[in-house]
Amino acid sequence: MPSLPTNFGTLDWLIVAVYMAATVGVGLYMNRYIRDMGDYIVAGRSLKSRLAVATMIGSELGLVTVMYSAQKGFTGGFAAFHIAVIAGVVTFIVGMTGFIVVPLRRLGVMTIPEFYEKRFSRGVRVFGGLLLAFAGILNMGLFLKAGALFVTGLTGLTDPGSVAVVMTVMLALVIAYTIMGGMVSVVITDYIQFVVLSFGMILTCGMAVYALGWSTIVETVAAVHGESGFNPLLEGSGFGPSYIMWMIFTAGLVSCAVWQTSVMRACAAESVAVVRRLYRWSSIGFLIRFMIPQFLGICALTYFFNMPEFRGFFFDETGSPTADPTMTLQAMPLFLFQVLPTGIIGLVGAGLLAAFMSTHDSYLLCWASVLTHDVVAPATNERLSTRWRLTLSRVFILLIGLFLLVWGLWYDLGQDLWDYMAVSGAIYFTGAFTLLLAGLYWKRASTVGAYLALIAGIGAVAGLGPVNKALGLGMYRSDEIGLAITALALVLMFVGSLVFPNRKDRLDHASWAERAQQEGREGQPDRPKRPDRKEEA
Amino acid sequence: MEFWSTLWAVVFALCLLVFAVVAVYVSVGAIGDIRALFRKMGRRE
Repeated sequence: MPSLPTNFGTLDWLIVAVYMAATVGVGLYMNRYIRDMGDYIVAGRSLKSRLAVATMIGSELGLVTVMYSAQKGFTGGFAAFHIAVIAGVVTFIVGMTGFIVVPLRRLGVMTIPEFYEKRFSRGVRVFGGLLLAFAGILNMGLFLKAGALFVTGLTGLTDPGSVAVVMTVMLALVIAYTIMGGMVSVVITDYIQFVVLSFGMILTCGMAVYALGWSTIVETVAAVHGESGFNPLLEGSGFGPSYIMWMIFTAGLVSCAVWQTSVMRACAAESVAVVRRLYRWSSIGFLIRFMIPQFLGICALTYFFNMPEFRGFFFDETGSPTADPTMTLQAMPLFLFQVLPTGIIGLVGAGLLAAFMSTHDSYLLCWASVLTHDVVAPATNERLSTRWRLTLSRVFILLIGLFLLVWGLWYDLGQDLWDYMAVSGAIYFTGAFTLLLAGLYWKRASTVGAYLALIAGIGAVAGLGPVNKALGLGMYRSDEIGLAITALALVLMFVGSLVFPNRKDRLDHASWAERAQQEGREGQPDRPKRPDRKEEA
Repeated sequence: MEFWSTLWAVVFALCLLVFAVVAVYVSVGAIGDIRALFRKMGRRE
């Protein structure tokens, strides 16, 4: 890693320390509100629209998102913006139609595997829960590494040992307040983070454009990437039509309507009307969480390309971005702490570190809850008491944290972080999407079809860099493998359901849907018009 | 290339503006929602 001077000073350390202490303190204080699993996982289903939007964006706009999006901007130029636009447009469409999320909220489930049991069987729930937790934990496996690279850039520390110690302390803090406060602490810390990061990032964009100049940015992208730096439809751009299709599915539909951490926000909403509004309003957040970091990645590209003394670290002899993903990940934080003045660095740095903690707490809570609620509890015939469930969730949070520490330091990335995350997540979501789609909208979907679709999804692991090489599938890109696995899961669900339909004694779709509607009405208010106006007032 | 660079410039500026408005609205409005959340959870306590 290049040793660059940084503007990070004593004032910035102070800002970061105060901000971190306040965030952790608020999280720990929230423990007093936790009475049962409903409070712990979905905050008692008490979130109103604006707080739900803040926490949704706050959670999804994490440090890791910022890091991998900036990397995409660095390696793909303005063409990477198509990912952001897709994410925003698809989330808005989900908000308008209520696709997947509204029926789930009506059912009153807390997790997606819980839906599997209502629609298919307890076995599907346990198997789906295991897959979800496995893929989810693998997916967040490199969060710590991304955080470590950010801290390195932030403080100018070059000793890898020091960074590992800092990250261990950060992880310990996150684990402490997530274990104590559950979803209530997550919601409040997400809100704080939303406020700081939203305004901090808008300000940072303005300062970056002021420092570099818009025309210089455009000219540098044209010099480094050529037309492929602007046109995502070009095959040579690293994107192309199949990649765009993959993004519509992953960055669009999956990240807002199938990924458990987002669905948890929908499940925590006060009513169906709030769910719809949450998605419509959050669509701009889903867009911007990619676009602003991508733009900062482009600015980093511009900055380092025009600095001959540092160009060698980030570009090869031909002037193309280096193939080393660690360097392309580090470019954005290194750039930020060259350009931003003291004080502002502290605020942005604290916001991003809080974002790191916030993403961790949401994900730790989510996967630990899935393991407790959807794997252990059903496997013991729901005999676990509330106290045991809370204890078990807290133990799982601790174990997952320890795994992250080991995996983050050990795994060799070998591809863009975003692609790693899309592929590791695909182990779960290719199957989960099929089960949700067929389970909610196709009356003949059967338990056997559900098992087959979940098993097919495991094949997505072939898209991970090291696995892809080991299997000799180098000629296929991760997006092509992901799309093929999704199609396979859909076909297997369809064929499996037709060949092995459910027995007559299981609920048919009509009665199931009726029950779902009924549960929605009984569980929580679902009156879209008058309460909306009341809430707004 | 001219088309794409103009398109991304317009999209970026527009999105930043809309997000700034949403950020202000949500930041202010969510304070009331937090109060309501505490009231509701406090009552159950």
